Amino acid sequence: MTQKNLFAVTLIAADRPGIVAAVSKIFYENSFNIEDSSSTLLQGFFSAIFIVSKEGVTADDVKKIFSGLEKTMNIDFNVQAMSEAGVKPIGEHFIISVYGSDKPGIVNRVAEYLANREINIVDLQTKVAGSEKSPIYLMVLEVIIDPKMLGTGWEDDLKKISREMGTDVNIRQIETYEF
Amino acid sequence: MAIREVLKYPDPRLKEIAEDVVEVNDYIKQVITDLTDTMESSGHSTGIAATQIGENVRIVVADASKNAKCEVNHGRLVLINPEIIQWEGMIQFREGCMSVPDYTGNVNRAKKILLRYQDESLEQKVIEAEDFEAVLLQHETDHLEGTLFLDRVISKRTDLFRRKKFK
Ligand SMILES: [Zn+2]
Repeated sequence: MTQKNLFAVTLIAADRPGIVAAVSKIFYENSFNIEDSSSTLLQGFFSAIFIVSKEGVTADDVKKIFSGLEKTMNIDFNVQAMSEAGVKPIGEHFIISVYGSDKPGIVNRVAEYLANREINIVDLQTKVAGSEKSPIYLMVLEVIIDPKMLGTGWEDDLKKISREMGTDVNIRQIETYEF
Repeated sequence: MAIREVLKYPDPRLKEIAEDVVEVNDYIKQVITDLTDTMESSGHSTGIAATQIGENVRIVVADASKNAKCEVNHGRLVLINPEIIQWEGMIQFREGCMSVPDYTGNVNRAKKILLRYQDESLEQKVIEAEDFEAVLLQHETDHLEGTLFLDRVISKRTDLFRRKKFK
């Protein structure tokens, strides 16, 4: 398979109807393929990442294509060429939820531990819930554990870190079945 | 023995509603054999619906015991005109499907079901299935309705952070 000419197009804009319609129209009319994308509302801002492909264009060309929309809809776009597609990690999927009263450094402590053990994070979401007086910090990660890491005590380590921070942690395996 | 090709979406036959089986004739016997052979030939497959091999009849062959982690199950089942008559509880699995390659998604299913079906002599049976086997049977009977797990996928984010709006 030949390497596709990939770009990451990211945008953050105050949420209002029509953002996806306007952006996807530009991709469609300019013959881009949307290979992958993820978008969500973060604190009232619509935040999106599109991985798109098109042959024979540069990141500057792509940026120019969006300049009209930048003005009319007042959205900032960032375009980045992607030199090569990343390697997909393989292994068992686990969901880790860490939650507790809002404490600085929760994300970093957990992320550093996972990095040291070479555990891949494939999805990370954080939220502050609860009331203003007593906020609850919630972090949900999906990680991929290399088969050789299974049974090496990484779960116990995370539970220990969580205890030290005074948070609660729950780790569960996600089973995938092809039916 | 015939191993059949498993149809892949967007084959329109996957969206058809299968017809009731009224007699077990040579054609129906052949479909059952083909389903069994096709399922067995794919090492990890635990179930297949007639819809997936392009036969528009209400037959499912399933074998939850092929999943080593599934402890309680009914072994190999040939289900004619299967119908779920009771649902209980909820369980979430990440499902994939032989007819939808390279994609998996989270799906909520009933944790426990009561399934009514006819066996190969068209005798009426009712079984209770739980956990993996229940999910498997829900996935396969969905195929007979032209429903794919893609019709039931839930968004990861809304599921994790489902939040009611009281303001
Ligand atoms: Zn299927």
